[in-house]
Amino acid sequence: MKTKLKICAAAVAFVAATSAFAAGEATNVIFFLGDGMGPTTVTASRIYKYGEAGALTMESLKRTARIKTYSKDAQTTDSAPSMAAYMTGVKMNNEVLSMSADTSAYNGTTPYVNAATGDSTCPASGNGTPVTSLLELSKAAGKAVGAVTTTRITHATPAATYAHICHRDGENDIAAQVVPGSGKFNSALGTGVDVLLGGGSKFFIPTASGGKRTDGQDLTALLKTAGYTYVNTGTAFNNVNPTSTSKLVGLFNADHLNYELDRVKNSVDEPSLADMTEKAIRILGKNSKGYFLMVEGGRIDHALHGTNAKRALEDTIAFDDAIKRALSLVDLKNTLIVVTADHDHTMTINGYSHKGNPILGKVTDIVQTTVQGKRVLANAADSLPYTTLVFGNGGGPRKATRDDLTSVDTAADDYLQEVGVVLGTPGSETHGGGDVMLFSTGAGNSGFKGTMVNTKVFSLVKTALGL
Amino acid sequence: MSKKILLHSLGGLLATTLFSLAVAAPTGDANLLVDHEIKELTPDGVTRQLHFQERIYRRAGLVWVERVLPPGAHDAAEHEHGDHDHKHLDLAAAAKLITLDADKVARIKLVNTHDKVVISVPPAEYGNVGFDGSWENAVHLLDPKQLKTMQPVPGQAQSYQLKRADTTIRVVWDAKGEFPRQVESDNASGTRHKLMRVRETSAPATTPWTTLQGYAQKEYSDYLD
Repeated sequence: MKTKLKICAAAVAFVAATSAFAAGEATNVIFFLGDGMGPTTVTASRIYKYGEAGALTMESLKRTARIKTYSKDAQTTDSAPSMAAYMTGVKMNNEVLSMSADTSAYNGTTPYVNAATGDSTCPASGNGTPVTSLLELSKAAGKAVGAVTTTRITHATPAATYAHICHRDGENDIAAQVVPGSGKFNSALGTGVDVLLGGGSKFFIPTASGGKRTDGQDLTALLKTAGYTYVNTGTAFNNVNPTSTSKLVGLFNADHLNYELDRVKNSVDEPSLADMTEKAIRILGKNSKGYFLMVEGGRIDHALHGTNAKRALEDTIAFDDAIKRALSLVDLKNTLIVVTADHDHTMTINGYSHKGNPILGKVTDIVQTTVQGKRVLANAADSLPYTTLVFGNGGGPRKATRDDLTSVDTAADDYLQEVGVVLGTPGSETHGGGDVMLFSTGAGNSGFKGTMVNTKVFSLVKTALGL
Repeated sequence: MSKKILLHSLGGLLATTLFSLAVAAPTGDANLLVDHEIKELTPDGVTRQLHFQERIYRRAGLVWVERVLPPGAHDAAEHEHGDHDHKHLDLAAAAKLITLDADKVARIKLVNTHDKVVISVPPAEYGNVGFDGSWENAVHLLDPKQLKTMQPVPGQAQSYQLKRADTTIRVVWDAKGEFPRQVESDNASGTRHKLMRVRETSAPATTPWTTLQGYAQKEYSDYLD
């Protein structure tokens, strides 16, 4: 009997194991990437929008894992190798995009890019080789593919899905790699990326027309020639009928799209990340063999670099809303949803504020607040109040001494949180080297659990898609 | 403007390089040297004193603000270690060029003369470069309208004072030059004293904003990951 039970248990375990890693469960994958959206940003956004006991949509996903993000050469990664690790399963050096591990972004101390023009100076050979991405594998399998972002479409995260280059800043060349007929088109993309939405039109337009391209090419014209519908405003985007559109490029800003806070406040004619996600799903979803879609909340990272917590939280909520929209549109029986970040930042939640204290506010003294029955601010050693959200380091116009924040509205749009280590460069708050979270649900999500290195995520997605 | 906001505004003025300016009529050229001094006694018995200077050149439709740097600072050798970092930009070494465009909107660019680069800054990032986006806050060193919310100091022409429970602020105003000669504040306990003194200085031999031909044009986002 005991033996029988053991056999049964083993059989159940075997079935469970094979189920967990069964290949090809997912016809579709949507890979959501919150750039720089570390655990503190997730928690702070939750409190900001839904309160301490509330929950973001991403937190409702079935499985959670913890991801180690270090790159091949750095304890703390930048967005290029971290996204490339998810997309290719290969650890590479900082600033390298979807290339083999032996690729260097620098020739000695000089980066392989002309910083003034955005032209790559990567050697044609002898400095690594391209490694295949999930988007390319999906395309080769006949699936539709897309990338949606709030940054320039040529920025590191979206570029890691479709381009291969030794230095991420060569954005003129990155743009050329995604445009059929440019002369530098990445042939592994087959008929091309089906949906591309974001910013960065300057890298698609020649300098003579106000862009950055030094080769004189108008890549937007080439895209139209290649059969793409091209739009550059939110209004035109809204008029795109996904039923009759199969290839769509939308570049809504010469540079990055506006922060969500400014997009809404100033009624900027740019689509929301949720709207872009929906349009992409509706277009890609027409492919009977399924699709691979990457969606990036890219400006979370930029606001954090600027130690502007409010804009970071607003962009995180917009990212979460895009996840919510996607969940309302897909069938989880055939679609895998993965939500993660490429790296952390140095923002932290500090002090012992009472529950309900605004996350963008000043720290309260929980003891005195409770005893006195009214909000009492906690003071630092200099007898001045301090905010709940602070950063380990940061640049910008730092004050010679701490301001008295008693009368300061720290929830104002442009308030910049205080930092520990002062760096000289504006926007230079660094990434954090800590682990990030991964949430998943839908077809083939069983393996996304435990503490994993970021390259493992590639294998899990690839297996889920049966590629 | 409430007194609370004014006090914060004035307090911030003393500690930062933001300048409040209000222009009802065309304002004359000015060449100014500004001393910022801060003295603070902390609760652990440590006295900290800080001092830095800025030069401000004011012309029609233009304000140039630059930090006075020690000789040799930010020279080639000092920057060598940073050459590996393509996103290096030292804010202290970068001047601010604030202009009024045709739509009467103030714009700021950073000018790094060492790297010969001009950096455009979008409004959402103004806070990170020490600019509040207002032309009125960029020509005078203190919005003259704020003086109307203060009390004149008896017997002292062009001197104004604002007292609050936790802070006292005093301003000496130069009506002709339309800038404060001095802005001073003390907290109630006397542990924090801030002083901004403004002197007229000579015009530069070559106005720096006229020598930017050939400079690389970059954007703030070029310095972000």
